This record gives sequence, C-alpha cells and structure tokens, in this order.
Amino acid sequence: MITINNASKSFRHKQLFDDLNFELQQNSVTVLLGENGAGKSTLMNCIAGLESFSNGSCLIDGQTMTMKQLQQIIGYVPQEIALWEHLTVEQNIQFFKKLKKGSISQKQIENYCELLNLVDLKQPVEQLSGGTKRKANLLIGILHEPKLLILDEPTVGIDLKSRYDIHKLIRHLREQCTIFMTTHHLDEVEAVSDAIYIMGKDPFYEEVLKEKNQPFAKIG
Amino acid sequence: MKKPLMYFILIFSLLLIATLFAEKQSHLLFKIPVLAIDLDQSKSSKQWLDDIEQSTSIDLEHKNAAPSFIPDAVENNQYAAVMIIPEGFEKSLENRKTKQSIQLVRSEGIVPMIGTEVISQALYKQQIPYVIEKHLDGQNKMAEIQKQYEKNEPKSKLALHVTEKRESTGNQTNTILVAASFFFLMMQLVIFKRLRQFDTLRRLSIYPKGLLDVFFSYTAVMLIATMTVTICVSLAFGIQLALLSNLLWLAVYQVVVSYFFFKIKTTSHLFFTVFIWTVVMATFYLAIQLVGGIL
Repeated sequence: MITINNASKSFRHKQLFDDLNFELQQNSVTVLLGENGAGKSTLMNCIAGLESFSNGSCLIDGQTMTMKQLQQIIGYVPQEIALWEHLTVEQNIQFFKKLKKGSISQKQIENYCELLNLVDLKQPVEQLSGGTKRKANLLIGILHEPKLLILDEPTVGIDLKSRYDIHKLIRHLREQCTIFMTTHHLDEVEAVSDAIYIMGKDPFYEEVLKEKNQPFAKIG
Repeated sequence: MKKPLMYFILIFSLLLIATLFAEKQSHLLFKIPVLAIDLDQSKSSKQWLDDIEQSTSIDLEHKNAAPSFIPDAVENNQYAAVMIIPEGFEKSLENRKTKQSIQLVRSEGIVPMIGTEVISQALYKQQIPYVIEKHLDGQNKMAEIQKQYEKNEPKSKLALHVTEKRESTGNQTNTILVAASFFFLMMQLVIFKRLRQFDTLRRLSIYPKGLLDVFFSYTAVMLIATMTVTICVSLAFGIQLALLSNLLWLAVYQVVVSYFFFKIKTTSHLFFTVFIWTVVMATFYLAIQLVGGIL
C-alpha cells in the first residue's frame, strides 16, 4: 500500500498543492482527476522520484524508501513520448531493458505487444502514429515489472482503438501492480478505475462524478 | 542576466590572451642592459665579454666612459650594472687574483642581481683553465688546457632538463592542434543534436545511473574520436604530440561541454554557452603553454 502523508509542493513562492493525504490500494487502479494546473503531473513526478515534496512523505508498505529503493519498484510513463525518436521500438526496448536489473522476458514483451496490438517494432519511433507511440511509451514503463506504475495521461491525443488496447493492458496489469494514473477522459475513468481522487479547486469534476454516481474522494 | 556575464567572460579571455602574447614577446626582447668598460683590452677580457654577450638575458654595451659618468648611468636606470675591467686584468687572471681587480657598479633590485650573476658565471668560467693549469703543475700548456676545456665543458643538467621538458609539452604545433581541437569539438552540437531529446533524458533519471551512463558514454566516445583524429593528423603532418597532456585538457573541455549539451534546452543558448567555454578554455590552455606548461 502506498501512503501519502501531508504532502505539499511549492515552487518559487507558488503553492502547487498543500497538505495532501491519501492512500493507493495494492493491486488496484486509482485515477486522479483535476483541472489543468491543479498539480497532478507534479504530484506524479514527486511520487516517481523525479521531484521531491517540499513537505510530507510517501510511504510504501509503511516505510520511507530511499531513491535507490524507489527506482527499483517504480514504473513511470510520462505524458510526453519519452523514447529515442531516431531508434526503433525494438531498439528502445533493448536500451531501456539494460538500465535496470529484473527486466521481463522476451516472451512477456511479446505478450504485452499482443495485448496492445503493437506490431510496428522495427520502425523508428518518429515514423509511428500517435497511438503506436503511446503504446510503445507504455510498454517501456512496464519492462521491469514495477510494483507501482505511474501513468500520466497515458491515452492523450490518440484514437479510440489505441485507447481501448491500452485500457485492456491496464486491466491486465492491475493484477500484478498498483497503478496510479491521471486522465481527462471520463470513459477511461469508468473503464479502468477502482478508486477516484479529485484534486484542484474546480467543482466541475465533483459535479460530473456525482451525476454519474461514481464514488470519489477529494484530496486537495 | 546571464548574457552580460558571458560577454564579459569572452572579452576578458580575449584581452588576457592578447596580454599574455604581448608579455611573451616582451620577454623575448627584454634584456638586462649592462655597460662594459674594458681598460685591459686583452684576449682574456675580450673572451669574458664574449661569454657575457652570448647570454640571452644580457644586452651588453661597450664604451670608453669616464668614471664620473657611471653612478648617474646606474641611478637613472640607463644600465642595470656597469662593469670596469681594469688594466692588468689578464695578469690577475693568470695569477688567480681577480677578486679585488674588477669593479662592478649596480643598482638594487632583482634585475641587476640577475645581471651580476650572469657576469660572475662568465668570469668563473674564465678562471677554470687557470685552476686546472695550477693542478697540472705546468705539465700542459695553457692553450691546450683551454682547448680541451672548451671541448669538454659540461652543460648545466638543470637547464638540459628544462629544455627537454619544454620540448615535450611546449611544442608549438601540438599547442595549436589542441587549441584548434577545442573549436573543432563545437561541431558536436550540430552533429549529435538528435541526442538532445529532453523528455527521454528526463525519463532516464528514474533509472539508477541512467543519465550518468548516457553522459559518460557520450563523453568517452567524443574523447576517443577526438584523440583518434589528432593522432591521425599528427602522423600525417609529423607533429610531435604530448598525448597524456592533450587527453587531460580535452577531457576537461569535453566533460563541461557534455554537461551543457544534456542540460541546456534552448539551442541558441547552448551554442552561446559552449562558444564562451571554448574561448575560455583555449585562452587558459594557451596561457598555461606560454609559461611552459604544467604537465
């Protein structure tokens, strides 16, 4: 279980978020909603270890982890396509596999590719469609069997079919890891979420979820 | 705010290198002015003055001047020292009694002291054959002793060591090659710009040593490539290289360029910063080489 206690983050006299307290249940998909500028991506970055909280802590199974320990268990899929654009998907997979111990087998990679309908492995990333890039971006994030998978808007700007493939994979991954993701698509929330958190000041999200009878919790 | 500082560093570096070159040239031209008044006009006195003139740090002038002229000439810094070789100097030399015979008037300061030292060394050299003759008890003629002495005169080992050292690191062509390499290496900003994918680089920071691996691999490849090119150029043109010294200088340069390469996102800012660094590094390198190198 992941526990966030009294987390706050400020940057150059601007408070991005303050006094956040919430938990992420094991082997579940928790979705974070909020307006642009609410601090969702920054919160994701802090949990992933890319940035640090100004105050507060992140406990994993009740323990504070060092950066090294965190790097072993975290899988992070950023909102941007963070792949080597001049390399093929296959070359990117080989490159990122070598960066950490405990990568999945080739067979497992092929299974994931099948789930994602990812077939263009030998083309340079820059020549791929948006949907294929997003799938490859996600695949890189799960190469080392993370215990905590952080997805920052994993389906932004792609076609419906690609989004469906990604949802399929997320549901599959739920069985083996804890997933924390952000999205702006309500259908995605309905398709994959086990828990919903709302962040930010805009009441729109609360109103919509109430309309849909979706349970949620406000965290900031 | 950063740009004015960088312009200042650039101008300062260029001024520094211009000053250092001027300083180096002035050292080549600057000699200690010494006036010699030879009242003896003997073979020995002329030999002594010849030896002094061979020194690269003494500018020797001959004159027949009145004794009253001398203190003014020294006080007015016209000459660092004035030496008067009296009549009978050669006889004194043969009798090994030169101590009280030579007059030397000099001003205070390190430059006149250096001049005096050069004059004393040359006089000492004059006395050696007579010392040898005394020990040989007249068995050999003076002319023969002098001939043998000149043939076998031991060179200063200290000077020899310094000369060798300067040849290995002070080689001008090697210096120019390394300085040019700094500017040549700027091309990497264009050739390898595809590696500047900052979203991917950011992702690497969640992996243990992910960014460090990329940084060091890139730096190592650039260094190996540069050293290979410089070695090929040196073989083609017969240039003597100071390999270890070159590698260390290039490594320092490249490590900083690699840092800027992966850190600065804006291309124009990157070019400007690396250009400034290149000028600073080339200036510093040339300045160190001008004073004889540190390796």
